[in-house]
Amino acid sequence: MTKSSRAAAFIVMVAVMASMLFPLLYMVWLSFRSETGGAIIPVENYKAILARGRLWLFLLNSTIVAVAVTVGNLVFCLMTGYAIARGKFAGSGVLYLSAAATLMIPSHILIIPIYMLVSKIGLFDTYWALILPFMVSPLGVFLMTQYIRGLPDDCEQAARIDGAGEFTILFRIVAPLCRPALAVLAIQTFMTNWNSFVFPFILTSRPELYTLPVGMAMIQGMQGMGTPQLMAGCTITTLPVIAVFLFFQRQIVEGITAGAVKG
Amino acid sequence: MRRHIILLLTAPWLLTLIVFWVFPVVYSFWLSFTDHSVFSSGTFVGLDNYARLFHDKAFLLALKNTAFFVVGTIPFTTVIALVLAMLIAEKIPGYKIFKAVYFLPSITSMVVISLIFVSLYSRDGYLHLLGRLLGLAVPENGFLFSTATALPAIMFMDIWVAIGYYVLLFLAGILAIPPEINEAAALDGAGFWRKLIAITMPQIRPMLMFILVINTIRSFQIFIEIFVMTRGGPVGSTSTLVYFVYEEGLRRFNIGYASAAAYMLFILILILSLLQMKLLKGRQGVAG
Amino acid sequence: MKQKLTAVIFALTITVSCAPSREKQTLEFWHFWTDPQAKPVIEHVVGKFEQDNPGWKVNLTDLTWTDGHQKIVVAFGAGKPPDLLELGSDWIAEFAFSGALAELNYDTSGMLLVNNAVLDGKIYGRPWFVDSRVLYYNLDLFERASAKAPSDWMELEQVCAKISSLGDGIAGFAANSNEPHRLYKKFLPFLWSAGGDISCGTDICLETEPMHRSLEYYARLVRAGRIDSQKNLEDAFIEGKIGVIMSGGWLLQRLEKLKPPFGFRLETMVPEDSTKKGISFAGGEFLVIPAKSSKKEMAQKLMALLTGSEYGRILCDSVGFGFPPYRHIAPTDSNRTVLFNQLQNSRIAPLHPQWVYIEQIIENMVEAVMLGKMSSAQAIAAAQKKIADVRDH
Repeated sequence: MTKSSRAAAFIVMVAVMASMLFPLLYMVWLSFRSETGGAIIPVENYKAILARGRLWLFLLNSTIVAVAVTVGNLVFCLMTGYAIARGKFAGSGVLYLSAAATLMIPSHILIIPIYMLVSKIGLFDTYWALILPFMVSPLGVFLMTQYIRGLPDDCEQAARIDGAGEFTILFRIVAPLCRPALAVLAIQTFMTNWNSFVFPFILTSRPELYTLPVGMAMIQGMQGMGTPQLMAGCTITTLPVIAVFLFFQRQIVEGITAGAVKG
Repeated sequence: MRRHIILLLTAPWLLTLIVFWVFPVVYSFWLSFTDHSVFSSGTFVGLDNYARLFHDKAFLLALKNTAFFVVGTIPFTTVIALVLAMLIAEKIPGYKIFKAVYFLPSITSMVVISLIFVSLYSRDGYLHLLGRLLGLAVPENGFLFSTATALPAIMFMDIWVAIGYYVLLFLAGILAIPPEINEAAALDGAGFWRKLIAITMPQIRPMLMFILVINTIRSFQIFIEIFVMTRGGPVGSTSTLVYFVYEEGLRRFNIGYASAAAYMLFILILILSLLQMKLLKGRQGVAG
Repeated sequence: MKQKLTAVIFALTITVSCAPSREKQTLEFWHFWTDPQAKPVIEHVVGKFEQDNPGWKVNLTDLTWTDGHQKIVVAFGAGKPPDLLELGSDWIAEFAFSGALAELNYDTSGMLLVNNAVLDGKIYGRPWFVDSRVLYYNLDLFERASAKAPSDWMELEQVCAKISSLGDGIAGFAANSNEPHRLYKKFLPFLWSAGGDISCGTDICLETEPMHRSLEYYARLVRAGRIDSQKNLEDAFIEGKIGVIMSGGWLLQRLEKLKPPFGFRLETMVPEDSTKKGISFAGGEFLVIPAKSSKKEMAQKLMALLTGSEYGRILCDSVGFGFPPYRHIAPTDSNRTVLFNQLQNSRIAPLHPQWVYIEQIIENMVEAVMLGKMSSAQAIAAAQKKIADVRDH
């Protein structure tokens, strides 16, 4: 590329970057302003939305659910990946393909049957509804199977000869070797779950169970919650994922491209 | 590995798969042939629901809006993301920062983004102000209160959000191109655009296909933006298929009817995805 | 020996059958009064009921507006509704038409809004808490525009136009969009105050002269004003940026709490001209008893206690707006009197089994003309056709 076109490209990219940043900066900026557009009131809006808007409750729920789902995925996807990758059994190919296939199913079309199912089991409006369906993600199964397949299995074989049980091998030998993939899975799961809206929305109805995205959508119409307070709530909702992103950029990129490169 | 160990290890996934994926798909199919609603626990009605959908103006409007949304966003998102990814691959100074910042909107919750844009699009908002300054004929009450601009406004927001995500995917595809090919092109004196069209595109065809398919699937089921920003209004101009399913099924509790609509959407997405894969895979033999 | 045994058995039987039952019977009551000010009142009334009826316990379930309807619908669908239930006035038709509610019997003299729960001459609900919609005027803006309170539609239009021309983001009239279940309550009063209606027998007729006039008028008013969500419009009114807005008693409560720097006044709906009356929309909360309840008598007793005049006033005071549904219980301050007077001249939404769809069709019709997408003639024709489709399905 010529120097002048590189310069032009640079300008274009800066412009794009500015437009990407603008709405987010606007959100933070507005969260510090007062409703009548006047003076800057540092933490008033945050206090208001945490207390009156009960955002602290939503924050708590989001944390509980995201952590539970992440831990669940780490354990169960590891188990499944190990079984498919190492356990040469008849259905292993099918199980692997099933994970890939479900990725093609648009999840939003399942809102009605899952709602009916959860209601009939009696788990509507409970933490279980927010956690159980998401504890083993297809992407996670996919990721872990791929990764474990790529690991040399000599340590496992040696341990097996020594008489170690499969679970011991899995958690003491394979798991530590999988740390990079597990990190990717943990971050991917946490971030997706933290931001998730549709299913938490349809599977709960009490404010006590709202996660941050659901809570924010619901208090939008609340009397006395002006846009600055809403922006404060948005900032609180966004901060954790941005923090995770800044620290774990590499893993996030890996997580996103992992499914794509093979598919 | 012994059988019962395998069973134990795969039980969580098996259970999740059957209970939360296979069963709902089958159950939804069954429901779509019943009139399950508030006061009827579901008598078989055959194809009645599907027939009704074809005459339902609200469904057809949702279909039209969704199609418009998909066709109007995917080309832009794809092209812009591809060009930006190429530029990043060319290591334009600052590329590392650009890459990170472009991605920020994608990791933000769609609810948050919708709330921010509701404010920016309102009559007192900055985007509205920008429009006025540029001399555009902006609707008086803000972009979301005009049937002509509400859906385009949401589409614009969606393109903005998605770009960064696809930049990363494209980048992965571009970086996987064997360097010899690029060197050969450089030797041939190929410029940026020539390189893009003749070399890069064919090489990243699998990635392009993947991106188009997942973008299609995602775009066909948008819901959050509509729910938070316009509730399908004004005058239904932003109603989408999933929003229709939600309203009919979970608000009016016409479970059977809504399941039929959901299944129509499922089949539509499936056909489109398969078509895309066929079209893009088919030409693979010609390149390289 | 046999005699002793018989005596013991006899004594035991008597003891068992006469022993006071430790088991209390429960009454399931679902309600929406989750406001921290109002809930204690409900609990108090319920406590009194339990006192007056030992052997009975009331189980309260709180419902929120966001998903109460869904919860109720699910319960009916599962065949497990409560014994006493609070329903919004616009939901009664849906449940009454499908036979899910029990017929009631109570003294309706002097009560307001009973007809909202009457189907085929039978009563299916008891009004609990009612409210109307009136016009709120920003008196400062009126003064700045040198305008006085309008007495008919022509004057109203002039006032709003003058206020809109004050600039600075100030709008004369305000209307809702992008939110279901709001606009029709604001538009129908205009239709009614033009001498029209949408009900014709058991059907819905939109192709009427008053409908054409009122829809065109409403669209003109709105185009010179502002369109936004209910919350934003009320916030804007409180900030002094709107001249005339239609709202219910809750806005008055907010204004009294926030004490804005401008003067405001409530007024009953403005009639089209001096030959007509200013009619507005009335809605509220009702208590109903599901047909499947096995404790209907006790539920009726609790219902009578809750909706009786004794506690009505206290309940409404606890949330700050609304009225108990009795003509003889009038408020004391001038603004609330306006609301109360309007209530005497209010109508309800028609009771129609497909009201949910009709409401949306009407709202879309009004929005389309408001936003200049269609002419009123086109919009009305299109809406009438859609209603025919809904009916025929």
